[in-house]
Amino acid sequence: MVQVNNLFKTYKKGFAPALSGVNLTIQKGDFFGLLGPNGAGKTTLISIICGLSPANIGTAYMNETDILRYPEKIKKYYGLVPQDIALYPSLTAEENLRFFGRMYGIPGNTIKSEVDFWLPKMGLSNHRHKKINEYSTGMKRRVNLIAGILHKPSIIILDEPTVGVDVQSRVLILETLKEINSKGTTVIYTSHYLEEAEDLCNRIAIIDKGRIIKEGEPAQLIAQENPCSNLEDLFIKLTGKELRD
Amino acid sequence: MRVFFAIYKELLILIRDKAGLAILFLMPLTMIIIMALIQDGPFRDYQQAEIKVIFLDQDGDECGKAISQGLNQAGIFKITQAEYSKYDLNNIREEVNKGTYKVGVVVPPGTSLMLQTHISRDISRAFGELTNGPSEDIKDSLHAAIQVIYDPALQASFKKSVQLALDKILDGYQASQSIKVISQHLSQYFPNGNQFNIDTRRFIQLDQKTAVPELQGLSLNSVQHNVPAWTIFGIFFIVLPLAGSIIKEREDGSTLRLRTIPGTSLVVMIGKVLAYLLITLAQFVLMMLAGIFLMPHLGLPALEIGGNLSALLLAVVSIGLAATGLGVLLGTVFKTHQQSSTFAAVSIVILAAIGGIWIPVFVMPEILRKMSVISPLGWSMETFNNLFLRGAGVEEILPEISALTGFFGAMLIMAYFYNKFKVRS
Repeated sequence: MVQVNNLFKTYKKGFAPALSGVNLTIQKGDFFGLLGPNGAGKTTLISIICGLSPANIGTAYMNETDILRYPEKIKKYYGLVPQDIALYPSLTAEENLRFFGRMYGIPGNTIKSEVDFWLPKMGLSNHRHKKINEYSTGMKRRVNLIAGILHKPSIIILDEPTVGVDVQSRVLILETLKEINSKGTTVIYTSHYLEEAEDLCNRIAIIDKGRIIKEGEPAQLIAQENPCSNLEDLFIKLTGKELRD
Repeated sequence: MRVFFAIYKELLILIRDKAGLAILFLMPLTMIIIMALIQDGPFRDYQQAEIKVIFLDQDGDECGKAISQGLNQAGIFKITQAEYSKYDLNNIREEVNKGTYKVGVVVPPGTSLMLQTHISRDISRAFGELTNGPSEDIKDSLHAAIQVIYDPALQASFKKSVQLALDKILDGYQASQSIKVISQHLSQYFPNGNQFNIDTRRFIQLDQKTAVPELQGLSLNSVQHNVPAWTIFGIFFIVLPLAGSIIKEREDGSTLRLRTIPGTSLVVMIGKVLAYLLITLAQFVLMMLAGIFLMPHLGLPALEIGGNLSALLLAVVSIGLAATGLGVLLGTVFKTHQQSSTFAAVSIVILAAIGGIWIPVFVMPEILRKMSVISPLGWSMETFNNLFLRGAGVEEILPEISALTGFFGAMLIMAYFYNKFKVRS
């Protein structure tokens, strides 16, 4: 479970806060969508939840461990799949996964069995010895996902995991995430693909200008806000049509 | 154990970067070869100088011969005898001015006779046989006798060498002539026509040694300077790929992923430092092998590395650590690879210049000699000079290796606090 209370975060004095009083609870087993326009505060909130950035005010807990006081302790609970392809381009997929597996402290034979399981599952069995810089974007995203879940965390945090990939890769990634979630793993996910989020998430939060402006089940939230017929309508109604760069 | 995998990952990445490997190994090797060959001449000029001298003996007597013989025996002059019938003082001046010869020496006619007359009169007067002293014109002509013409481009140190050699020859010749005349006078006091001979051998000899007896005969030459110098330069050039690798990991998101793995950032950084340290050791071994085995094939002397291998290993590790420390700091502070590589390349070239990599510190102007103490490349050079030329051991190189490891520590501490500050802000 992840719980944040009254989180405030300011990067520079005199500038608008990146987060101002964020409260959020993500239950175990949730497929939680964190949605918001560019610069809304999604990445800052995820950084704080991951223990990578301190908050100015507030509290945050992951599986009842104080994130702000013990940022190193909570790292064993989650796996992060960043938006960037966080892999070594000159290493093969297998070499990357072996390295990150070793860094997680996974024994060699366990890594081997996990790699042997995941690479074929993600359609990469014939490319395991190919360097990452020779992969297509879709292939890179699939390896990026494996690297974040290799150590079987109880919480997976994904930052736009399907950006820039073809339909086939997107479907495979989302089906994999659904499958993992169905086995009890909590998934926290950010995306600009609202249709995708509506389909996947049992709960969402819309964040804008550092505040959570709506939180709940997607269908319920859409129904509450007339005349919205889908999540995109709701999102535009709540955040406006003003461009965010 | 995780450190081992971090080192393995780093080495894999490095081995696959062919351009990076070329910079790390071929660049310093090429520099060693080129610079050792280029600087061989100037180094020989200082140590095995052979100054071309054109010598015109218009005297044709003992003094001219003594000067010619003395210059030949000095061992630093290559003497060409000018034909008396074809050359005069003006011709000699022209030859020197053309640069064909560095020095022209002309012994004018009658020099021997004037000297002998002067000595005979002086000594005869001393023995009470003659009351009148030598005339003033003899004195003047003797003082102005030997003409020495220098090439305007000749270094001051070489002029000094010529002057000292001629002074020594003339003093020696005048002394031997004086003794000869004194002996003749003294012989008159011995009955039965016995000759009185004064032993003119030199009783006080010079006993020259280097401070380290084992290194007798070894001196700073082009190879002894350039091989360690450009090895150090090559070692410090790992700053570029190391800083670049840190920046690249940050840019492509690997650093972010590693930060989410408990206790991994430090492990990966240690792995990175150790991997690059191994590369510096490999660089060092390659350069030393080139110095020992390749240089003689290029007509240069072989590199002498001294006998203290444990001190040498300690020195190389310290130098490697200093270089990796600088790489870690630059990789932490700079945002882009371009920024870090430009800064690193320029700063290493400057630190190399003031640290005595290009030319030895002792031939630099005083202001640069003072500045050389701030350069870690200068400390590294001093360490190798101590080991290779002065036969130093661990104890003697402790100040330098302490400075180098202290520099490494300071760089890491600065990188740590900068990173901490950056995360907080």
